Amino acid sequence: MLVLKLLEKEEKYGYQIISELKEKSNQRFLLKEGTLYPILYRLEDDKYVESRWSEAEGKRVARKYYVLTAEGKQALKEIQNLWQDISSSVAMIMEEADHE
Amino acid sequence: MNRKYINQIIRKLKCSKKKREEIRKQLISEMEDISQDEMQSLESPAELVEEFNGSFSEEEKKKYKKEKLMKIVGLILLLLVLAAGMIWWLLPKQIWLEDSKVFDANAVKMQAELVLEYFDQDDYESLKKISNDEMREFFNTHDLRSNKVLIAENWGRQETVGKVYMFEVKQMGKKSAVVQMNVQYENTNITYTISFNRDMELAGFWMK
Repeated sequence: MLVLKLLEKEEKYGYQIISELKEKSNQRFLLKEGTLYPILYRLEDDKYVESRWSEAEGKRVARKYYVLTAEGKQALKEIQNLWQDISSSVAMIMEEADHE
Repeated sequence: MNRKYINQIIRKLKCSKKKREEIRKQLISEMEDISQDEMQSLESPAELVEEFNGSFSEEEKKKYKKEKLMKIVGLILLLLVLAAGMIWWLLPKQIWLEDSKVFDANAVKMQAELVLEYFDQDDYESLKKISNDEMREFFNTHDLRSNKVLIAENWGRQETVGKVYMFEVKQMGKKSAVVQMNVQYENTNITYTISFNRDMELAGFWMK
Protein backbone atom coordinates (compact mmCIF):
# COMPACT_ATOMS: atom_id res chain seq x y z
CA MET A 1 0.00 0.00 0.00
CA LEU A 2 2.77 2.42 0.95
CA VAL A 3 4.64 1.80 -2.29
CA LEU A 4 1.47 2.36 -4.30
CA LYS A 5 0.81 5.55 -2.34
CA LEU A 6 4.29 6.91 -3.05
CA LEU A 7 3.80 6.31 -6.74
CA GLU A 8 0.33 7.88 -6.81
CA LYS A 9 1.36 11.38 -7.83
CA GLU A 10 4.53 10.98 -9.80
CA GLU A 11 6.84 8.37 -11.20
CA LYS A 12 9.77 7.31 -9.05
CA TYR A 13 12.76 4.98 -9.23
CA GLY A 14 13.67 2.29 -6.73
CA TYR A 15 16.13 4.11 -4.52
CA GLN A 16 13.88 7.18 -4.48
CA ILE A 17 11.03 5.07 -3.07
CA ILE A 18 13.31 3.63 -0.38
CA SER A 19 14.57 7.09 0.61
CA GLU A 20 11.12 8.72 0.68
CA LEU A 21 9.64 5.91 2.72
CA LYS A 22 12.49 6.23 5.20
CA GLU A 23 12.17 10.01 5.38
CA LYS A 24 8.38 10.22 5.55
CA SER A 25 8.11 7.54 8.22
CA ASN A 26 10.77 9.20 10.40
CA GLN A 27 13.06 6.28 9.71
CA ARG A 28 10.51 3.72 10.90
CA PHE A 29 10.18 1.98 7.55
CA LEU A 30 13.60 0.97 6.32
CA LEU A 31 12.82 -0.91 3.16
CA LYS A 32 15.67 -3.03 1.80
CA GLU A 33 16.39 -3.28 -1.93
CA GLY A 34 15.77 -7.00 -1.75
CA THR A 35 12.31 -6.31 -0.41
CA LEU A 36 11.35 -3.39 -2.64
CA TYR A 37 12.29 -4.78 -6.06
CA PRO A 38 10.33 -8.02 -5.70
CA ILE A 39 7.35 -5.88 -4.59
CA LEU A 40 7.72 -3.68 -7.65
CA TYR A 41 8.03 -6.70 -9.96
CA ARG A 42 4.90 -8.26 -8.47
CA LEU A 43 3.00 -4.97 -8.82
CA GLU A 44 4.14 -4.75 -12.41
CA ASP A 45 3.09 -8.35 -13.12
CA ASP A 46 -0.31 -7.54 -11.62
CA LYS A 47 -0.48 -4.42 -13.85
CA TYR A 48 -0.78 -2.05 -10.87
CA VAL A 49 2.35 -0.19 -11.94
CA GLU A 50 4.18 0.24 -15.18
CA SER A 51 7.79 1.11 -15.76
CA ARG A 52 9.98 2.91 -18.21
CA TRP A 53 13.72 3.34 -18.60
CA SER A 54 14.96 6.91 -18.64
CA GLU A 55 17.60 8.05 -21.10
CA ALA A 56 21.17 7.99 -19.82
CA GLU A 57 22.48 11.52 -19.39
CA GLY A 58 26.23 12.04 -19.44
CA LYS A 59 27.74 9.93 -16.68
CA ARG A 60 24.34 9.21 -15.20
CA VAL A 61 23.12 5.76 -16.16
CA ALA A 62 19.54 5.06 -17.25
CA ARG A 63 17.02 4.59 -14.45
CA LYS A 64 13.90 2.52 -14.23
CA TYR A 65 10.92 4.65 -13.23
CA TYR A 66 7.67 3.26 -11.93
CA VAL A 67 4.26 4.89 -12.17
CA LEU A 68 0.80 3.87 -11.00
CA THR A 69 -1.67 2.60 -13.61
CA ALA A 70 -5.44 3.13 -13.50
CA GLU A 71 -5.76 -0.38 -12.05
CA GLY A 72 -3.14 0.52 -9.48
CA LYS A 73 -5.04 3.67 -8.47
CA GLN A 74 -8.20 1.62 -8.05
CA ALA A 75 -6.34 -1.00 -6.03
CA LEU A 76 -4.81 1.73 -3.84
CA LYS A 77 -8.26 3.17 -3.14
CA GLU A 78 -9.56 -0.26 -2.13
CA ILE A 79 -6.58 -1.03 0.09
CA GLN A 80 -6.79 2.41 1.72
CA ASN A 81 -10.48 1.84 2.51
CA LEU A 82 -9.68 -1.57 3.90
CA TRP A 83 -6.87 -0.14 5.97
CA GLN A 84 -9.13 2.62 7.35
CA ASP A 85 -11.73 0.00 8.30
CA ILE A 86 -9.14 -2.12 10.03
CA SER A 87 -7.46 0.77 11.84
CA SER A 88 -10.79 2.29 13.00
CA SER A 89 -11.96 -1.12 14.20
CA VAL A 90 -8.71 -1.62 16.07
CA ALA A 91 -8.98 1.92 17.52
CA MET A 92 -12.56 1.27 18.68
CA ILE A 93 -11.59 -1.95 20.42
CA MET A 94 -8.62 -0.27 22.07
CA GLU A 95 -10.74 2.66 23.30
CA GLU A 96 -13.39 0.30 24.70
CA ALA A 97 -10.70 -1.65 26.46
CA ASP A 98 -9.32 1.57 28.01
CA HIS A 99 -12.82 2.57 29.33
CA GLU A 100 -13.46 -0.77 31.04
CA MET B 1 26.56 -2.44 -4.26
CA ASN B 2 29.43 -3.19 -6.64
CA ARG B 3 29.54 -5.28 -9.81
CA LYS B 4 30.78 -8.39 -7.96
CA TYR B 5 27.89 -8.10 -5.52
CA ILE B 6 25.44 -7.72 -8.41
CA ASN B 7 26.92 -10.63 -10.34
CA GLN B 8 26.61 -12.88 -7.29
CA ILE B 9 22.90 -12.09 -7.27
CA ILE B 10 22.24 -12.27 -11.00
CA ARG B 11 23.91 -15.68 -11.39
CA LYS B 12 21.47 -17.33 -9.02
CA LEU B 13 18.22 -15.78 -10.17
CA LYS B 14 15.66 -18.30 -11.36
CA CYS B 15 14.04 -16.20 -14.07
CA SER B 16 14.30 -15.64 -17.80
CA LYS B 17 17.45 -14.17 -19.32
CA LYS B 18 15.52 -11.04 -20.26
CA LYS B 19 14.34 -10.48 -16.70
CA ARG B 20 17.79 -11.23 -15.33
CA GLU B 21 19.34 -8.59 -17.56
CA GLU B 22 16.69 -6.08 -16.57
CA ILE B 23 17.37 -6.70 -12.88
CA ARG B 24 21.10 -6.34 -13.52
CA LYS B 25 20.54 -3.03 -15.30
CA GLN B 26 18.32 -1.81 -12.50
CA LEU B 27 20.73 -2.79 -9.73
CA ILE B 28 23.59 -1.09 -11.59
CA SER B 29 21.56 2.11 -11.95
CA GLU B 30 20.76 2.07 -8.22
CA MET B 31 24.49 1.84 -7.42
CA GLU B 32 24.80 5.50 -8.29
CA ASP B 33 22.65 6.62 -5.37
CA ILE B 34 23.92 4.35 -2.65
CA SER B 35 26.56 5.77 -0.33
CA GLN B 36 29.47 3.75 1.07
CA ASP B 37 27.75 3.56 4.48
CA GLU B 38 24.55 2.28 2.94
CA MET B 39 26.50 -0.29 0.94
CA GLN B 40 27.73 -1.80 4.21
CA SER B 41 24.17 -2.32 5.38
CA LEU B 42 22.96 -4.04 2.24
CA GLU B 43 21.51 -7.52 2.50
CA SER B 44 23.74 -10.42 1.55
CA PRO B 45 23.51 -11.62 -2.06
CA ALA B 46 21.95 -14.89 -0.83
CA GLU B 47 19.16 -12.99 0.98
CA LEU B 48 18.46 -10.84 -2.04
CA VAL B 49 18.42 -13.86 -4.32
CA GLU B 50 15.93 -15.60 -2.04
CA GLU B 51 13.66 -12.57 -2.05
CA PHE B 52 13.87 -12.12 -5.79
CA ASN B 53 13.28 -15.79 -6.53
CA GLY B 54 10.30 -15.82 -4.24
CA SER B 55 8.74 -12.91 -6.12
CA PHE B 56 8.79 -14.24 -9.68
CA SER B 57 5.46 -15.04 -11.28
CA GLU B 58 4.57 -18.56 -12.42
CA GLU B 59 4.99 -17.40 -16.02
CA GLU B 60 8.51 -16.19 -15.25
CA LYS B 61 9.36 -19.48 -13.54
CA LYS B 62 8.09 -21.37 -16.59
CA LYS B 63 10.29 -19.23 -18.86
CA TYR B 64 13.28 -19.97 -16.63
CA LYS B 65 12.63 -23.72 -16.78
CA LYS B 66 12.16 -23.60 -20.55
CA GLU B 67 15.40 -21.65 -21.05
CA LYS B 68 17.27 -24.04 -18.75
CA LEU B 69 15.91 -27.01 -20.70
CA MET B 70 16.89 -25.37 -23.99
CA LYS B 71 20.39 -24.80 -22.61
CA ILE B 72 20.73 -28.48 -21.67
CA VAL B 73 19.32 -29.61 -25.04
CA GLY B 74 21.69 -27.19 -26.81
CA LEU B 75 24.64 -28.53 -24.83
CA ILE B 76 23.69 -32.14 -25.63
CA LEU B 77 23.34 -31.26 -29.33
CA LEU B 78 26.72 -29.54 -29.29
CA LEU B 79 28.30 -32.59 -27.66
CA LEU B 80 26.65 -34.86 -30.25
CA VAL B 81 27.95 -32.70 -33.10
CA LEU B 82 31.44 -32.73 -31.55
CA ALA B 83 31.29 -36.51 -31.06
CA ALA B 84 30.12 -36.99 -34.67
CA GLY B 85 32.95 -34.75 -35.87
CA MET B 86 35.44 -36.68 -33.77
CA ILE B 87 34.20 -40.03 -35.11
CA TRP B 88 34.34 -38.69 -38.67
CA TRP B 89 37.89 -37.48 -38.02
CA LEU B 90 38.90 -40.87 -36.58
CA LEU B 91 37.33 -42.94 -39.34
CA PRO B 92 39.52 -43.65 -42.36
CA LYS B 93 38.28 -42.03 -45.57
CA GLN B 94 39.55 -43.42 -48.82
CA ILE B 95 39.66 -42.50 -52.49
CA TRP B 96 41.22 -44.29 -55.46
CA LEU B 97 44.90 -43.45 -55.66
CA GLU B 98 44.45 -42.27 -59.27
CA ASP B 99 42.34 -39.42 -57.89
CA SER B 100 44.89 -38.43 -55.25
CA LYS B 101 46.46 -34.99 -55.37
CA VAL B 102 49.22 -36.06 -52.99
CA PHE B 103 50.44 -39.41 -54.31
CA ASP B 104 51.59 -40.49 -57.75
CA ALA B 105 50.00 -43.91 -58.45
CA ASN B 106 52.90 -45.18 -60.58
CA ALA B 107 55.50 -44.17 -58.01
CA VAL B 108 53.49 -45.87 -55.24
CA LYS B 109 53.15 -49.07 -57.27
CA MET B 110 56.87 -49.15 -58.00
CA GLN B 111 57.69 -48.55 -54.33
CA ALA B 112 55.34 -51.39 -53.33
CA GLU B 113 57.02 -53.74 -55.81
CA LEU B 114 60.39 -52.74 -54.36
CA VAL B 115 59.15 -53.57 -50.85
CA LEU B 116 58.00 -57.00 -52.07
CA GLU B 117 61.29 -57.61 -53.79
CA TYR B 118 63.24 -56.88 -50.58
CA PHE B 119 60.81 -58.95 -48.55
CA ASP B 120 61.03 -61.95 -50.86
CA GLN B 121 64.81 -61.75 -50.66
CA ASP B 122 64.67 -61.42 -46.83
CA ASP B 123 66.64 -58.20 -47.28
CA TYR B 124 65.45 -56.45 -44.14
CA GLU B 125 68.31 -53.96 -44.06
CA SER B 126 67.15 -52.53 -47.39
CA LEU B 127 63.57 -52.56 -46.14
CA LYS B 128 64.62 -50.53 -43.10
CA LYS B 129 66.22 -47.93 -45.35
CA ILE B 130 62.93 -47.18 -47.07
CA SER B 131 60.82 -47.34 -43.87
CA ASN B 132 59.64 -44.71 -41.40
CA ASP B 133 60.80 -44.78 -37.77
CA GLU B 134 57.97 -47.03 -36.52
CA MET B 135 58.54 -49.63 -39.23
CA ARG B 136 62.31 -49.53 -38.70
CA GLU B 137 61.68 -50.26 -35.02
CA PHE B 138 59.30 -53.05 -36.02
CA PHE B 139 61.91 -54.69 -38.29
CA ASN B 140 64.48 -54.40 -35.47
CA THR B 141 62.28 -56.19 -32.96
CA HIS B 142 60.44 -58.76 -35.11
CA ASP B 143 61.85 -61.68 -37.01
CA LEU B 144 59.81 -61.82 -40.19
CA ARG B 145 61.52 -64.99 -41.37
CA SER B 146 59.87 -66.96 -38.57
CA ASN B 147 56.51 -65.35 -39.42
CA LYS B 148 56.90 -66.48 -43.00
CA VAL B 149 57.37 -70.06 -41.84
CA LEU B 150 54.14 -69.87 -39.86
CA ILE B 151 52.24 -69.30 -43.12
CA ALA B 152 54.04 -71.97 -45.15
CA GLU B 153 57.29 -73.94 -44.71
CA ASN B 154 58.54 -72.99 -48.14
CA TRP B 155 56.74 -70.38 -50.19
CA GLY B 156 58.70 -71.13 -53.36
CA ARG B 157 59.34 -68.64 -56.12
CA GLN B 158 57.02 -65.73 -56.88
CA GLU B 159 54.91 -66.65 -59.89
CA THR B 160 52.32 -63.96 -60.56
CA VAL B 161 51.11 -60.73 -59.08
CA GLY B 162 47.31 -60.56 -59.21
CA LYS B 163 45.09 -57.53 -59.04
CA VAL B 164 46.55 -54.46 -57.37
CA TYR B 165 44.25 -52.05 -55.54
CA MET B 166 45.58 -48.68 -54.53
CA PHE B 167 43.91 -46.05 -52.34
CA GLU B 168 44.66 -42.79 -50.66
CA VAL B 169 43.52 -43.08 -47.06
CA LYS B 170 43.00 -40.07 -44.83
CA GLN B 171 42.70 -40.72 -41.12
CA MET B 172 43.11 -38.33 -38.19
CA GLY B 173 44.34 -35.67 -40.59
CA LYS B 174 47.12 -37.87 -42.01
CA LYS B 175 47.17 -39.05 -45.61
CA SER B 176 48.77 -42.31 -46.68
CA ALA B 177 48.87 -44.45 -49.78
CA VAL B 178 47.68 -48.02 -49.34
CA VAL B 179 48.42 -50.81 -51.80
CA GLN B 180 46.73 -54.19 -51.65
CA MET B 181 48.10 -56.92 -53.89
CA ASN B 182 47.62 -60.65 -54.24
CA VAL B 183 50.81 -62.54 -54.98
CA GLN B 184 50.95 -66.15 -56.01
CA TYR B 185 53.99 -68.14 -54.97
CA GLU B 186 54.79 -71.71 -55.93
CA ASN B 187 53.38 -73.08 -52.69
CA THR B 188 51.11 -70.33 -51.29
CA ASN B 189 49.06 -67.25 -52.01
CA ILE B 190 49.64 -64.10 -50.02
CA THR B 191 47.63 -60.89 -49.86
CA TYR B 192 49.83 -57.96 -48.95
CA THR B 193 48.65 -54.63 -47.66
CA ILE B 194 51.41 -52.07 -47.79
CA SER B 195 51.12 -48.41 -46.82
CA PHE B 196 53.32 -45.39 -47.38
CA ASN B 197 53.38 -41.96 -45.78
CA ARG B 198 53.56 -38.70 -47.73
CA ASP B 199 57.35 -39.03 -47.90
CA MET B 200 56.86 -42.42 -49.59
CA GLU B 201 58.37 -44.20 -46.59
CA LEU B 202 57.04 -47.67 -45.74
CA ALA B 203 54.57 -47.02 -42.92
CA GLY B 204 52.65 -50.31 -42.70
CA PHE B 205 53.08 -53.90 -43.81
CA TRP B 206 50.51 -56.70 -43.42
CA MET B 207 50.26 -60.13 -45.03
CA LYS B 208 47.74 -62.90 -44.89
